[in-house]
Amino acid sequence: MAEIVLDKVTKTFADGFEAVKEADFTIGDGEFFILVGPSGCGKSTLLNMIVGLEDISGGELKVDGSVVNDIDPKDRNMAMVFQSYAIYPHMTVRENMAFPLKLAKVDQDEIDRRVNEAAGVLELKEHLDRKPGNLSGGQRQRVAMGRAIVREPAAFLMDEPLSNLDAKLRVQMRTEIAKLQQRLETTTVYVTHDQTEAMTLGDRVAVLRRGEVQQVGSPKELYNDPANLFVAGFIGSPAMNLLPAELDGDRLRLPMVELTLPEDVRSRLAGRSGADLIAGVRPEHFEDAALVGDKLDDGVTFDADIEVIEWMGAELYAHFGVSGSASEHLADLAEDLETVGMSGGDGATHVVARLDAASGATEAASLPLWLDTSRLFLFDPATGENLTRRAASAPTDARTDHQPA
Amino acid sequence: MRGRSTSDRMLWALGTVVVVVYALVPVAWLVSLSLKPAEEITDGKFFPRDVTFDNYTGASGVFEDDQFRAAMINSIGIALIATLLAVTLATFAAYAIVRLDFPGKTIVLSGALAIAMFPPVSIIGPLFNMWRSFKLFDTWPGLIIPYMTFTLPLAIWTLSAFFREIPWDLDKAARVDGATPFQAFRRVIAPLAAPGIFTSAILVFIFAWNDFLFATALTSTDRARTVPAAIAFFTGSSQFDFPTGQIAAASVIVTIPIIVMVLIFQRRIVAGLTSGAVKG
Ligand SMILES: Nc1ncnc2c1ncn2[C@@H]1O[C@H](COP(=O)(O)OP(=O)(O)O)[C@@H](O)[C@H]1O
Ligand SMILES: [Mg+2]
Repeated sequence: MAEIVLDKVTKTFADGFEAVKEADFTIGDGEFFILVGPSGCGKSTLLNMIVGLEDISGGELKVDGSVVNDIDPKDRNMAMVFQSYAIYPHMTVRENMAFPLKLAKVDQDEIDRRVNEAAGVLELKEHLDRKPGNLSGGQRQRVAMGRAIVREPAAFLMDEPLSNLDAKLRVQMRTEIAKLQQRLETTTVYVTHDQTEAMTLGDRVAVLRRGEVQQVGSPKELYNDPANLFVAGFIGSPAMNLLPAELDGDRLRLPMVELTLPEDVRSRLAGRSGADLIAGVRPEHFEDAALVGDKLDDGVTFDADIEVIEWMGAELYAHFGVSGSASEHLADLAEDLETVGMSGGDGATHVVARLDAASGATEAASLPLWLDTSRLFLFDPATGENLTRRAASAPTDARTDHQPA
Repeated sequence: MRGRSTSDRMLWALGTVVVVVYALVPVAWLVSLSLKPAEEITDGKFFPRDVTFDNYTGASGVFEDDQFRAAMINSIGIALIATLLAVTLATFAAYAIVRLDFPGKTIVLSGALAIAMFPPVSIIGPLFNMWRSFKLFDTWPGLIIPYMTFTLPLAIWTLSAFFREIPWDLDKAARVDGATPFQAFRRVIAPLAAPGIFTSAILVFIFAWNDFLFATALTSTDRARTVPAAIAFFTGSSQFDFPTGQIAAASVIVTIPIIVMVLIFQRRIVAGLTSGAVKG
């Protein structure tokens, strides 16, 4: 049980590369905390600094109030699950799980008790005397988990623990890790590059980009109120549609439609009239106009030439193109988000709308679509800042509001 | 092998037989010579007519020879100590080279390789004089030191290749699990590098065991003379009687420890020990 405080924690590697820049947030006692971001953004480095495998170049790391910057990893009482599992191939499953306890000089009866208990929880009982080489990927993953939980550590640190499993097993283990963490109530820091994993598992999530923390918040906050363009584009699947927009007084021109901005948004955009902006629309904020009913007046309606339809059963994804693209502002972002669609330089933008399954949308036909204007996001194309952010006007906690300059 | 045609397999078998025969005929000849009585030695026949163990246990046999017995003890002692020291040192050195980033790392490695390529015979003269002033001449350390010098580079290279194969995450995992750096090395890394340790142990042992150059140049009595050198000092019962039979017997005996070493360690040189550390 531990509260972990990062106070401007910075990592500069020997070659001068700054992998983590002033990470500044608090991981609450018993919290399931996620570090998410594209690969190479410094997640593992940050985790390794917390566990003590990497030196901290600047700032302070506090666990339960005391600074641990210079404490050896063996004395931090944290357990780690590695992406490669890092289970010891020359030891049996039982020996692997008992290893940290042996080092801590726990007596043999207690070791047996704890190993058996953990093996029971993780359904490894019948494999205790086997070598890891003969186990399946999922079983090895459990052994790595088992080695972590037998210690009853102050915190669990997991570095992409599920990324080596196949998709089905990954979803299954995800649920099991969530259940386990709920039961043990141990502070957990979990690293992943998969936003779905981050959103489903985390109590709170920190989004990283190029070593900088973009936003810290609950999955809901990140989704509904992203601090900037990067978080908006990274969180959510299918991703938010990003379109070029032009502000003209209280009117906003999108490639497919022109609309009047709601009052509260307008006041926040004061002084930007005539500016180019980037508009963000989540796929579910489109709807088949025929199905909207009385909310029709809260948005705008336009005709879209549907190209492809993906029918998912409960809903359907309608894909259509609009002319005009914000790609010149998004190239940088697209690179980080590892998406290709965004920076398609042909002057058109690909849009995904998530419609009710009852929609009569058909491929290669025009369909009146409704856009919920109250849910529209607007971003500053230069800084990426979310101009429509609700929390921005009244930040509750400075730590959760860390924004890049 | 499945899918190979019969003629393919025949060719393989033939090749194998040729190589094995080529390698083993001299050894078989040696065994045969050592089992022949003195008068048959020069008869040019491959198989001895009357098999005798005189050359081993007879009155003039090698086992009755004080010089040979002393040489045997020297050989075993010197080779084992040199192996132990060289492998221990090489293990730490290789680990440091693989795991730590220190300036001059490549210089250490290439320097080690340079030493391995250095012809030993070129330092025999100076070494002879130095050893006499240091009182190392004709002592066990006097041989152990040069053996270590010439085997360490090879051992370091072999071991660093093995250490490189071990995922670094295991080391990190052990540290997080509560191990000191030394515990992580001893309980996780060293066991995984065991095949490499045994491989280099065999190499060092064979070098020390078979060495003739240093053994003749740096020894003068039974105090430190090893078997390869001692064999050269065998004398027949008379000036005109060359002790071919005894030399053959001694040579056979001297190969036995090597074979035993290899057989013991071969079972431990199982590669793929690290499989299972990472995902399957
Ligand atoms: N030892 C190192 N020296 C220099 N740069 C490093 C080192 N380790 C990692 N990096 C760099 O730091 C960045 C962050 O790496 P990492 O934390 O592993 O990213 P990820 O978010 O994928 O886990 C990467 O760009 C990587 O190239
Ligand atoms: Mg990583």
